[in-house]
Amino acid sequence: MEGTAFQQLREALLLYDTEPTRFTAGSTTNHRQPRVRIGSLKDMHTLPLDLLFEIFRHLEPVDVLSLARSTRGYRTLLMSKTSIPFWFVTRRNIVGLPPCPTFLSEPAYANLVFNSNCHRCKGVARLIIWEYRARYCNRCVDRVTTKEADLQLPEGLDCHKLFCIVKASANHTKHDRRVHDPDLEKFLRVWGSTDVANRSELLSDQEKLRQELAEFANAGRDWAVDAKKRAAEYKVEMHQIRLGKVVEKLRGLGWSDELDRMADSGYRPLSSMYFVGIPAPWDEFLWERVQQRFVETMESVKVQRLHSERLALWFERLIHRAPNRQSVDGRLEPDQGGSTAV
Amino acid sequence: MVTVVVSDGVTFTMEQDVAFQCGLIADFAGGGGDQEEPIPIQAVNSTVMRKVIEYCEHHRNDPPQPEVPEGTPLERKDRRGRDAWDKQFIQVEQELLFEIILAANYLNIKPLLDLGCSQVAEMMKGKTPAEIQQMFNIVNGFTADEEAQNGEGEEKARNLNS
Repeated sequence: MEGTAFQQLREALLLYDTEPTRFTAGSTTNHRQPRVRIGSLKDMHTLPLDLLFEIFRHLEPVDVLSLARSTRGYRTLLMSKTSIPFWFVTRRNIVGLPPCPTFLSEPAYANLVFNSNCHRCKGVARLIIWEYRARYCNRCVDRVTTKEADLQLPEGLDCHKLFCIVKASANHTKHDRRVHDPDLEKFLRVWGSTDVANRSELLSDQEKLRQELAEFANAGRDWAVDAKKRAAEYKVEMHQIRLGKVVEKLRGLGWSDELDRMADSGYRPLSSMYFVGIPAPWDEFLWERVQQRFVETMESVKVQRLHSERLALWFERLIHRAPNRQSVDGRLEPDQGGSTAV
Repeated sequence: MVTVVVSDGVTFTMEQDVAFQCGLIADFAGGGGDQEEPIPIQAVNSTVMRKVIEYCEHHRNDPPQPEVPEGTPLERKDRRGRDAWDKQFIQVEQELLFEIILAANYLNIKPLLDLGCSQVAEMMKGKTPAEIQQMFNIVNGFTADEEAQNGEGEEKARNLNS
């Protein structure tokens, strides 16, 4: 990996990333609490490339994409052909993600799958249109597609064999199937500039691409469904593990009696707490920081329980005393004391 | 006992099971008995060596970690979680963190290298490009064209593979 090309990239990284610093702790105009510490990784570019590679192995493609968009040095490093192994390794960190298709580069694939911005207006677009290799918001999708009925192709061409024609938005009816304009325009441009003799080859290439796109779309959609399901299962699994650990820790702190009373409700006051719901493995370090909050919750649960028990006892005594307090003619007798002394 | 001398001339003596967690020292000592001659470790200074020894002493009785197959997804690796002590141990300033990574790489201590690298990766996970710029303490050096490309789904990068 440490070849000449990488040497050049390394130099680029050092050159670009030694630009003068401008961020200071007080210079941010955003008044919200920053999510990062300024300068907390400022020396990362000094690490050798093999160690950068070790770090990237722990990232997901979306993180590498953000890194590539952060500085010119990392952009030069990560967008070069020699960096394909970086992307490959991070892509393997995602369970079941189909391999990168031949018609997309690794960064473009990462962008398609993990960056939830519309490829036209940069707004939010949660749905991937796999056949188009793009994400579009509901507003933009109408502007970059042509309805099947409105297609005007040169005579003799079958649009179904050449293009993926799909329902591209949840707002469209099932009969409103469309072609992706950039794909259509690209094909027509090449078609117009190709000799008549070579057009059959172009047609077979286009048919092959359509088939590949259809297979890619099926695999991508299957993966998306699986990933969603797996994420939900993982969340439930982690919730159970974390709740179990919290209960164990609180028992260790002497709350066994209170926890036994809670067990029937599935430890409800605890199970709905944010720390328990984090879909991540147990973190002892974090627990030590939030432990006090759980102790306060247990204290408040105990106070509430004692209060309701006292009320229940009070009502019970009141009910038991009620027949004695009524005289024969139905008038209330004066309080004999005791019922209010609960 | 094994003795090492680091770049700033400080000498450290440690027990064999602690020292042999460093692949480099184990190779130097050849797996034999006590090493009389101090082993020179020129790429590591005493501050970092102290941290490395602290790590090795804490993990001296650990059973050998099962090898994680190449290409295991993060989601599965992460299920193991991270030791609370490790997490506390690696909460250090970035200069020291990068020196620990370099030392772990030089001394060939795979678990420590993984710990350091995953700590850096953890800091970058889920961050936006602007936040990463802040972490690098660097200005946005992109031209308007490059900025536009950043948001255009890497259209330019589409042809990288072809």
